[in-house]
Amino acid sequence: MSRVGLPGWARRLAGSVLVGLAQGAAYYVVIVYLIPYLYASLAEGLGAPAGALQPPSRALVGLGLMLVGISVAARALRGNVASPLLSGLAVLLSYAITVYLMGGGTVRVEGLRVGDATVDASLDLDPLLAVAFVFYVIPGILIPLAEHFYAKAEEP
Amino acid sequence: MGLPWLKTVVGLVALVAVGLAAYPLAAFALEGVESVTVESTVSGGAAVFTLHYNGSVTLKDVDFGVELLSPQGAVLASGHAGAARLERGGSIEVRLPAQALAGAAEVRVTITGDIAGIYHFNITSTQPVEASG
Repeated sequence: MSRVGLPGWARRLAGSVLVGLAQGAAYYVVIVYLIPYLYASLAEGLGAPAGALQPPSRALVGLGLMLVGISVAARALRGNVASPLLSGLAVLLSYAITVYLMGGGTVRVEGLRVGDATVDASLDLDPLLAVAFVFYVIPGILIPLAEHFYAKAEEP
Repeated sequence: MGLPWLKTVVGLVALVAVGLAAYPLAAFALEGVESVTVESTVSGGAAVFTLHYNGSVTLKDVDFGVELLSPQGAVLASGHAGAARLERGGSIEVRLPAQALAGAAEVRVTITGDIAGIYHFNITSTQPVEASG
C-alpha cells in the first residue's frame, strides 16, 4: 500500500501556517480579551463599578485578526528577510494597541458617584509599559532579525 | 538552526521582569481603593481627618490633603500631611480648625502616592460635610 501525502513544500507551508496561526491566536487573545480585562480590573480597583468591561469592538477584533494575518505571513515567509520584519511589525503593532487600550498609560476614573461623594482617580501605568517595551518590544524586533541573519550566515 | 537559547533566556527574563512589575498592580486591582479609608472626628476644637491604609502593598511618598469648601467653592481651611512609607495598618492625620468645619459645605480629600514606589496614583473625593462625619 502506498502512502499518498502532501509534497514536502506543502507540508512545510502547512506547518508554518499552523504555527503562525497559534502565534497570531496568542496576540488575538492578549489584545482582544486580556488587555481590556486588565484595564477594566484596574479601573474597578480605582472604584469604577464592576462590569465596566465592554465586549470587544469590531475595530479591535479587526486589529486582532490583522495581527493573526501578519503572524501567519511572517511564519510562511521564513527564510525571507520579510519574515523578521513582519514579526517585528506584529510586536510593534501589538504594543501600540496595548498602549492605546491602556489609555495612553493612565487608567482614569472621573465623576464617579460613591454615596454622596464624587470621586476622581488616576493611576499611572508608564513603568509597566516601559518594562514591556524593554523586555518585549526590543527583543521581539531584534531576535527574529538576529535569527534570520544567523541562519543566513550558517548556510553553505 | 536559530538561537533558541537566546529566546529562552530573554523570554525568562521578560517573564520575571513583567511579573515583578505587575505584582503591585495586581494586588492593588484585587484590593481596590477600599483599602484606603478616611474618617473624620471633631475633638478639642479641631476637626481631625484620619486616613487609614489596610492594603498589602506598601505605598510610598503618600500625601494626604484636606480642604474645607464654602457653598461658593472657596477654600475655608486646608491642610495636608505626608508619609514616606505607608504600610498595612498605617494612618495619616490632618487637623483643621473646627469652626471652619461649621461654615463648610463640602470637604475635598486628595490622596496621592506611589504604589510600591512605582505606580503613581491620585484620588480626589468631594462630598458634603453632613455626609462626611
